[in-house]
Amino acid sequence: MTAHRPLSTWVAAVRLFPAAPVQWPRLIEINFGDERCDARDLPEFVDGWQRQAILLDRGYLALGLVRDGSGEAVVELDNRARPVRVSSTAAAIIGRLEESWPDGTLSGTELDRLAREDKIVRYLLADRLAGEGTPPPEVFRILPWDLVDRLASQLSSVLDGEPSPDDIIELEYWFTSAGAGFTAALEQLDEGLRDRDQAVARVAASALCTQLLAVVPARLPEPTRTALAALSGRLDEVDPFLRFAGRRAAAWLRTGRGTGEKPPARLPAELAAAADSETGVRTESVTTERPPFAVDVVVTSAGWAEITVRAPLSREDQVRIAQSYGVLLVPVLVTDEDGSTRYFLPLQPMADLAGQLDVELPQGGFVEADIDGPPIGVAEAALLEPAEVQRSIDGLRTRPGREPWTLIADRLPAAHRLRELIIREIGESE
Amino acid sequence: MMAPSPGPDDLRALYDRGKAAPVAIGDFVGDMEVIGFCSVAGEGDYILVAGQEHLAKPPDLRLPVVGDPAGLERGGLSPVARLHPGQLQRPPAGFREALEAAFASRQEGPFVRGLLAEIATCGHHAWLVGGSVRDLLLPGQSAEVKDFDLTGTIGPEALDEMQMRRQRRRNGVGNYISSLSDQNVWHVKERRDGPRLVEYKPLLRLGFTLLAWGGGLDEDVRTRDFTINALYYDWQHDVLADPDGRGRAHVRDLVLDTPGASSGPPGMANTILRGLKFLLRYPTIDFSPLVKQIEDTYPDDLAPLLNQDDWRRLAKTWDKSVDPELDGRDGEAASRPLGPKAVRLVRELRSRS
Repeated sequence: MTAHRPLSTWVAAVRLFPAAPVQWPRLIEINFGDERCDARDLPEFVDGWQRQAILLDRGYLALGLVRDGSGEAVVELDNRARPVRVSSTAAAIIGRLEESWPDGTLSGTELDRLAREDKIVRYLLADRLAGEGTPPPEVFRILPWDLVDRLASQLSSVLDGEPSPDDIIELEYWFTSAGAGFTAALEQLDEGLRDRDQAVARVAASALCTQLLAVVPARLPEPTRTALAALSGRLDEVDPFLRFAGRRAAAWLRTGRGTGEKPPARLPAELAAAADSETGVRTESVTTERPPFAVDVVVTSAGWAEITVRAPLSREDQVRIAQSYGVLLVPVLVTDEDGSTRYFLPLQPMADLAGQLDVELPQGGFVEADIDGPPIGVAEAALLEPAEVQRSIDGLRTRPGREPWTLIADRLPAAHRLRELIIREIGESE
Repeated sequence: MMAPSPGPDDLRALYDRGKAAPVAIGDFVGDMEVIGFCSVAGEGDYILVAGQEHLAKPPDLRLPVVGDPAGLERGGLSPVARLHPGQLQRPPAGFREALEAAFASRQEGPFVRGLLAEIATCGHHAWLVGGSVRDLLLPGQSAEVKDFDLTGTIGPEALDEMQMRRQRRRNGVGNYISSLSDQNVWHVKERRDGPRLVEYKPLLRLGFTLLAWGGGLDEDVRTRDFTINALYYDWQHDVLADPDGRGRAHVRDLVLDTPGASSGPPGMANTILRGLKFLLRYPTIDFSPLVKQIEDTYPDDLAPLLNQDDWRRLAKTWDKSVDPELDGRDGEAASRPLGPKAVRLVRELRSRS
C-alpha cells in the first residue's frame, strides 16, 4: 500500500489537463461530498496516487495528489477550505518521505527547506508524521518556533516592566503535533498580562508549568527551550506559589532529563507500636522542601501517614489567594510500593498557609509524598474528575480540613457535577 | 404570510428587529427583496435576492461582515416570527443551571459561552440545538453535555471572521482548531483527529439550488432528524423553542418521530439508522410513529436506490451512531422492530462492510 495519501483532512477533486493550470472553482466539494470524514482515511487513497504540486489558475502551486495517467487529482485544503500553497521542492521532499512512510528520514537540508514553507504545510506534515509514526525529534523543528521564542521573550520583558507591544503573536494550533499544548497557556498568559488580570495570568502560569513538564524537550529547538526556561523560571513573579513548579519546568527544559531537585525523603510504612510512649503511638517524620512549600510526612504506628503541606503566608498572599485562586489546592503525589496516587490538598490561611492529608498506610514497604505540579484554584478545580475530588476529600479527616471544599462547591454552578459530589461527601462525613 | 402580532407575554417580542438589526430575509436592498444568503468557503457570505432561488453560482451581492449593505430597508421578519406564541417557552427549572454547569466543567465551555454572548452583541441570535438540548430535558437524567451544536442567524464566514481570537486566547484554548467547510459548517476541535467540540450551522433555507441559509426556525426544523432533536435553546434570552410543536412532549414521553418527511433514499436510510440508534439507547421509547412512516412512505428496498457515496456515509453513521449503542447485540436483529424495510437495509449495509 502506497503512503501517498493526503496530509490534510480535507481535499477537493480537480481535473488535470496537459500544460494548463487547474481552474479553481469558487464552489468546491470537500472530500467528495462528505466534509465530516477525514481525507487521510478515505478508501479512494488506498493505492495509485502520487504526490505533486499542482499549478492553479490562481497563479500558485498547491499541495496535491494525482492518480497516474488518469487526469484525476485532488488539491489539499486548509481549514478554511482554501488550497494549501506549496513549493515544488517541498512537494518532492514530501513525496520522497512518503515512499517509506512513516519511517523515512529527512536530511538537514530538507528540514531547512521545509522550514521555509507556509506554516500550514509544516503543520500538516508534522501532524501526520506524529499521528502515524514515531518521528525523530528534529522533524518538529520545521514548525514555526520563532513565534514561540518571540512570545516567550516578550512575556519575560513584560515581567521586567516593559509594556506589552500592540502586535499580538498568534501561536494558534501550529505546535499541537509536537505535543506542545503549552502554547495555549503561553497565549493565555499574554492575555492576562496585557489586561493586568491577575486571575487569568495565574491560571495561565499554572497551566504553563504543567504543560511544559509534559513536553519532550528534544522536540523544541535550543533557542525555544532557552526562552521558555527563562520565562518559566520567573513565573513566581506572576504568582509566588508557582516558584517550585516554574523552576522544575525550567530545569526540565534545560536538561531534557530530570528536574534537578532532590527526590522526596522516604519513610518506612510500618512502625512498631511503642508501649512506653504516652499515647502508645510511635511516629517518624521527614520534611521535603519545595519552596515556598514544605511537605512534612509523619508515619504513625497506628497505620497512618499524616502529610502536611505548608508555606509562609503574608497579608499580600492572603489577598492574592482570595482573588486569583478562591481556594488554593496543592497537588500531592503519595507513593508507596503499590504505586502513586494524586490528591488535591486545600491549604488554609492560619499562621502559615497549611493543610493536612491523612492516608492509610500500606502493609510494609515505604511511603513518600511530594508536590506534583503547580497549585490550582477554583477555576481549574471545576474541571477535575469526580474520582479525584472524592479521593481528595476522603483524605481529609477533620471538618475544618474539609471546609475549603465547601467553599469550592459554593462557587460552582448549581448543577455542576462536582458540587453535588462535594456536598454529599462532606455531608456523609458529618 | 403575515406574522401573528405578539401579545404581552409573547416571547417572540424578544426577537423583534430593531433599527440596527442585521439584514434578514424580507428586507430590501435597493429594490431587490432579500430571500436568503449563501457562502463561499474562504471567500465570504453573499445575499440572494428574489429570482435567485435557482442560481447555480454564487451571486454578486456581498453581505458585509460589519454594517449594512448599501440601500438596506428593513421589512423582514425575525427568525421566530412565524412560530405560534406557545412554541416559545421558558425552559423547565434546572435546565439553565445544567447548561451553566456544562460550560463550567468543560475546557471549551467558557469559550462557547463567550461566543454566544458575542453573537448577541452583533445583533444576531444563536441557539443550542440537538442532542445536548434533548439530554438536558430528558426526565430523571443527570445529563452531561458532550458537545455544543449551535445554529443561528449569523453567517458562517462572518462567524469565522469574528473568530474571537483574543477571547479564545484568554480562555486558554487558543490552540483549538476552527474550520469552515463547503457545507457552511463552522466547527472547533482540540485536535485534528478529535471530536468536534463546537459546531455551528446557520438556520437553513430550503428549495434553493445553492446551499442557502437565513430562514426561520419554522424552516430549519424540517431539516432535523427527529422531533426530540428539534428543540432550540436561546441562552441569551433563556427561551426554549419547539418549532415542530411536539418536541417537548416527545422528549417528556419518549416518542420517536420526524419533524418532516425524509428527503430521498439517502435521507430515508439515514433516518432508519438514526432511529435504530435511539431505539437501542432508550429501550422504552415509543417508535411506532417512525415505524408507520417507514411502512407508509419508504420504498420496499432502499438498497438499489443508494450509490457508493451513500453507502460510505451510511457505514460511517453506523460506526458513529449505531455501533456504540449495540453493546455486543446483533444489529440486524436489533433493527427488526423498525420493520422489514429497515432489516433489509441493515442486512445489506452489514454485508457490504
